[in-house]
Amino acid sequence: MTQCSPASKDAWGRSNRRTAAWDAEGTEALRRRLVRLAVKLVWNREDAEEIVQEAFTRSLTNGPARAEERFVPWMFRTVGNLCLNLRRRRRPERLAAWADVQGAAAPEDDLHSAEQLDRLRSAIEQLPRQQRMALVLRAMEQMDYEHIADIMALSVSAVRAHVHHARRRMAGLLDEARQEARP
Amino acid sequence: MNLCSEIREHLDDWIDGTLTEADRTAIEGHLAKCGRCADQFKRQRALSDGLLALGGIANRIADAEVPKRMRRIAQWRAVSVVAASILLLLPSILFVAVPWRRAAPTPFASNDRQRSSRPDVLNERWIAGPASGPVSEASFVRWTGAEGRIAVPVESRNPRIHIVWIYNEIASVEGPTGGETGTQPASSS
Repeated sequence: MTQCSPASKDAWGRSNRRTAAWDAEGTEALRRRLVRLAVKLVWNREDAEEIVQEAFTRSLTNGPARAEERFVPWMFRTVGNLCLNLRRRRRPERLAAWADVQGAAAPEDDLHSAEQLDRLRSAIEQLPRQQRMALVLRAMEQMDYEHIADIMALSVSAVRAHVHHARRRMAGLLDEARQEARP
Repeated sequence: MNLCSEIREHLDDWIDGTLTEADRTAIEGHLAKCGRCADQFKRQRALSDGLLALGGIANRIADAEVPKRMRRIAQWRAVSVVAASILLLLPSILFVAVPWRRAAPTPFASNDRQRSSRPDVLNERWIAGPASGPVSEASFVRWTGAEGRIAVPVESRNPRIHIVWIYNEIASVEGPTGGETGTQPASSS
């Protein structure tokens, strides 16, 4: 079987390069992206907003300059760490209120019902920190591996490994949950 | 390594959509024949779709307009924080801004005791303030109960703060030029 080619248009060697190009964006657009990421980790809008605000505050004292290319990955990393370190969390949002509940032909395979999505959310929270962060950024934020590597300060291969293990673990956790749910 | 193991190694790339056309065709050809691999790939695909759906819900939560009621609560909260801060700071602001009338000297703001190396000598530094005008040494002596002690006023940068050193006794010490002797209060360590 031939070697798999990376997502980028470049050859395999360049896709493993450490630094990805980050699009310049306004502060408000960045803030919205960061709130989206924070919600995916803490599942509460108020907590997410506070965390993003805290990250911006910290950037004024500890972070790189706004004009620097590493500012955006630094912000994502800070928001991610603040979310994962959050102790006292407000109640997570009820997914049923937000999900488009769909009728499932094969309920145990369809992960779009509110109940299944809740199980999915619980399973993600059981993942180790690095795996959780990598999986959320890849599978939910749809970020490419180079950008994730920038954010997590890891190599692309390390990020791939985290995503790989996270997916396996999630499959195992969901199988267990399915077993428990059966009468 | 058998074919199934080799196929499963590319599961992540298949989910991520990063396979070449040729590889994708080969994998899907195998999945059509191997139930076990097909089942695993199907589960991972469902997981991936579920995570994507969860991500979409999170985006909706993040982008939703904050309800008017919550916005009003947030605004009131901000106003009350500002009002509480002003109330707490108001005494300090008035203290600085309002000119003080000439008043009798007030009790000392602080008493900073410094011990000298000699245990029989106690030096005290008394800081008094605020006062509207010069304060006589006699007044200091009266306040500190320092009758019989030596009170030496020390220059203060703030005209309202008066500092005086009080010494219990006078010791004979050598002066700075060496060899000279004079009388001055025993200094602290």
